[in-house]
Order: sequence, then structure tokens, then C-alpha cells
Amino acid sequence: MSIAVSESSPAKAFRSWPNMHLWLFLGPCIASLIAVFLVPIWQTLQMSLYSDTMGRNVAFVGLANYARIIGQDGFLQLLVTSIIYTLGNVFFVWFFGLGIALLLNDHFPGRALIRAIFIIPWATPYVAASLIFSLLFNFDIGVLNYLLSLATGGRFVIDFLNACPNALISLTGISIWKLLPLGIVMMLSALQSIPDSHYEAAKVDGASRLQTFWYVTLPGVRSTTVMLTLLMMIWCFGRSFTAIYLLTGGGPAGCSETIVLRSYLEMFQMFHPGSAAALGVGVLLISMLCAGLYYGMVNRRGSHAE
Amino acid sequence: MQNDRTMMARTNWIAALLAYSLAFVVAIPFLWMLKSALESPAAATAYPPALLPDGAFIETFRTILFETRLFHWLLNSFLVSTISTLVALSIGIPAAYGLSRFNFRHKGLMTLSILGTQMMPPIVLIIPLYTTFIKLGLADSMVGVVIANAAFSLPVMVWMLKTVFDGVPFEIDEAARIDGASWIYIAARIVVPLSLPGVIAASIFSFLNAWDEFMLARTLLRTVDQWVGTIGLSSLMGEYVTPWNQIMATALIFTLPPVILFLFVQKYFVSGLSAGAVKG
Repeated sequence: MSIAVSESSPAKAFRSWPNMHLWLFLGPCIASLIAVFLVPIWQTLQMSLYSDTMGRNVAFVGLANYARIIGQDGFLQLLVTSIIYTLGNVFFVWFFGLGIALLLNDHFPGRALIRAIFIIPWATPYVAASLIFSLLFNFDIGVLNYLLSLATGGRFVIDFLNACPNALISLTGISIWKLLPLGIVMMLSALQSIPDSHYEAAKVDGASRLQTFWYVTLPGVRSTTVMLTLLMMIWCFGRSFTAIYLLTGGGPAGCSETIVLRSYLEMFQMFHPGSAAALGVGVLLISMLCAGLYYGMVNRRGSHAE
Repeated sequence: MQNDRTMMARTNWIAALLAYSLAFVVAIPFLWMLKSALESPAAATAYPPALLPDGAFIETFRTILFETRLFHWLLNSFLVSTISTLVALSIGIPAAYGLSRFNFRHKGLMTLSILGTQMMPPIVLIIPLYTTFIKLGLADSMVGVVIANAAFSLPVMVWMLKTVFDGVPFEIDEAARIDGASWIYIAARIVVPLSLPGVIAASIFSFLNAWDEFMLARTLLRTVDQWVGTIGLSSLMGEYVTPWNQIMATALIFTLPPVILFLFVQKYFVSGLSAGAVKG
């Protein structure tokens, strides 16, 4: 489906409707979006250029906040943590999403129920998921460590949340669990959009299952893969907050701290609005880059499909 | 080599088993919450953990429903989610109708901008919104949370509704137009009722977004009585007073409404999230 709707829309007949109606219908929506999206973004941009203190004596400091953040010791770690978290999500949500979608694409008894179960993580509120995982990951009474010690005769347990790099891996795992439904559902509709004739042609040519997968299935899901990747980069990177904030607070020693979490902590715990806003602008720029690529893809795909 | 038919049947069987086991693995966190909610405090912290609950849950649920603020927080969450959904609907329906039925210059760009707003990282919005709401005297008030949630779900709402309205034949509008009906009448009395399932699905998505929202509520709502469910639930994190079975029972009660609602709108999942990216 294309975003450029004007060609295919049924609205052609009403080209000459009065302008007043347009504003009546679209005005409130546009006004709200400006008030709650555009104005705050503008304010954040402004805030990032002013001094890093709450209160009266704020002064214009130019790019000093950005320079200080980039110059800080922890900046590289912050960036690397965010990238690992995001790319870990992108890869595994795609990988498991495609794998499970391939399974669900075949008919088998109970498929509808299984499909519904795979979607449950998405509907589970993030705060509830964080609490559940804090119990599963619990060092003393958690079932995961119990199973581990059972399997290894008590020699081996993992401190899931209070050690590096375990904390980051565990939090990435929680996010993968939460976002997996998105991967499954997107890959499933990509698989269903591959025409049967392509598979039949492969069969006629005597292709093996592996060859069919490689030459028919993978190319068939390529554009969805790119879109899932970009969408995940926007979602995961821009929303890498709730579970991290609740389970580790970015620790230990900052090794699970993402840019979003840092921005939040700078604003609401350390009261550094300038730093918080500058970090926020960084998140925004990266998200916008991905969003631009995403819509480029959507439109290109839309025009190919027609 | 086996012939094709037996090969096919065997592969499907293996795939099905694999699907069942993977679904079980994905469901483990949910099942563990259920299990922990249904057992006594002693069993919930026992080591090694039992794989099945001991079923002593009546006291747990009595306690969390009558002796904690859970019910109050759920009510707050319900109010915030419902009101913000109604606000989003009242703004989103006309906008979606306009985008579906009218042609105008830069319509593609307009649609794109509305959709693009949902890609904005919440943190960039929440920092200034917090400051603004404090200035407006909305600190510690659910009004600010309602406004923000309504706006946050508006882009997806407009997109989903537009897709649904596009499915209502335009000839119906034309016929009503010839009979002298106004645009507002056509939208409210003809197009919306004809696309009711889609409108309900969009409302549920908006409701779920607000139900799940944490970051802004966490900064704005301070007194315990103003808390919504996410904040109340998160306050149990890392404290050592509330036993695990109570925490999990609370999480369960907070999780069930969205999960049940979501199962009804599963098939709208893709269009709601990827906003038309996937051909469907």
C-alpha cells in the first residue's frame, strides 16, 4: 500500500469542494499535532542551546552542551550500548520473526491459537513485563538460575542484571521478547505476499528446499526486512527506556545505559535540562534519518506494486 | 528419496511441534506470572521454585484488591485511557474522513507528516511537555497525561481510520450528498457506522497505548492517589515489603485487560503498527 494516496483515492469526484470544509475536518488534528509534537520539538532544540541549569539565569551557550556531552568519558559507552541494544533487537526480532513466520505459514492444527500466543508479549504492558522478568532473572530465587544450576550441577549461575555485560544482554532479551510479535506478523504478511507461482517454478526447476528458501523466500521478504529493520531502529532506539529504567537504572557502572535513559536521568534526576535536551536532539536526528529511509522505502515499494 | 507427499506431511508435523514448543517458550514469562500469582507467599519465594502453584490465591487477591491502592490505580488508568481515546477519536475521525474523501494540494505530504509524527522519540516530547504542563498548573494532574496520550495515539488513529474509511464505497457518500446531506452528517451517520469494527479497533489501540504509557506519567504524577496503573505497578519494583505472589497478582490484573482486548484486534495489528507498510 502506498502513502502517496492521491492517485488511487476515490476522492477524484470531489475536487471542487470548498476549502472551508478541509480546515473543519483536518484543522483540529493538525493543531493538536503541532501543539504536542512540533512545538515541543522546537522547545527541545532551543533548550539544548541554553545553559544546563534549572531556574532563572539561563543563558545562550550555543553548542556547548553538545560539545560537553561528546567530550565526556562515558559518551562512547553510551553510544555503543544504544547501538548494541538496537542492533541486537533488529537482528533477533528479524531472525526469530522470519523463522516463526515460516512455521506459521504452513497449516497445522491449532495454528490460530499458537499465533495468538505469539502475540501476547506485545499486549503485555512494559511495566508488567519488567516485573515478571525481574522475578525470572532474580539471582537468588529466579527460575532461570535454578534451571541453570540444575543443568550444570550447581556449578554455574548467571547474575543477569547486576553484572556487565549481562545486564545489557538481559535487557536486550526482554525487548526482543516484547517486539517479537511485530517481527512475526510483518514477516508473515511478507511471506503470504510471495506468489505461489514462484514456488511452483522453483519446484519445476528441481530446486531443493534450501535453494527455494535462498532464491524465492529471501528475495520475497527483502523489502519487508528493510522496513522492519528501520521500524525497529526507530522503535527500539527511541523507546529504549522502561525496562532499563526499572530493572537496572542504566547500571551497573552505566553499562546498560542508553541515550534515551541518560537523557531522562539528566532531566529528571540531575536537573540538567541542557544536556537532556541535547541528548534528546541526538535521538531525534537518528530517528528522523531512519524514518526518512523508511518512508522512502514505503513509497518506492508502493509504486513498484502498482 | 521419499515421494513428495510423505515428505510434505512429515515436514509439517515437525514444523508444528517446533511451533508449539516455541510458543511455549514465548509464553513462559506470562505463565510464570500466572503461576506466581496463584501461590502462597512462602511458595513464591521458595527455592528451588515449584513448577506448579499451590493454589493459595484467595487471600492474595483479597489483599491486593481491598488493602492496596490497586483498584484506585486501575480506575485512574481506565479514566486516562478512555478519555484520551475519546479525545483522539473526536479529532481523528474528521481528519481521517477528510484524508479519505477529499483531494487537495500536498495531500500526500500532509498524510506523510501526520504519520511521521509517530516516529518521534517520546523523550524529545516529554522533556518540554513536562515543563509546559508544570507552567500550566497541570503537575500531578491526570489532565496533562490525558492530553499527551490523546495526541500520542492520534497519528496511528488517523491512519487506521483513513484506511477503514477508504473501504466504504464513495458512491454511498455521493448518493447522500445528492439527497442533500451535509458532510458532517455523512461522516457521522453513514461512514463511521459502516466502518464500526475498524473504528473500534483503532480505539482499542489508542486505549492500549495510554494504558501502557509510563514515561510521562512517571514524571507528572506524584501523589499516590493520582498514580495510574503503570506507576503503581512500577512502585513495587525492587521493594522488599510486598511478597512476590502479590506483585505478580497485581501485574496479572493489570495485564489481563490489554491482553484480552488485544486478542480481539489482532488482525488490525499490522496496519496499526507499520502504518500501511506491509501490503495486506
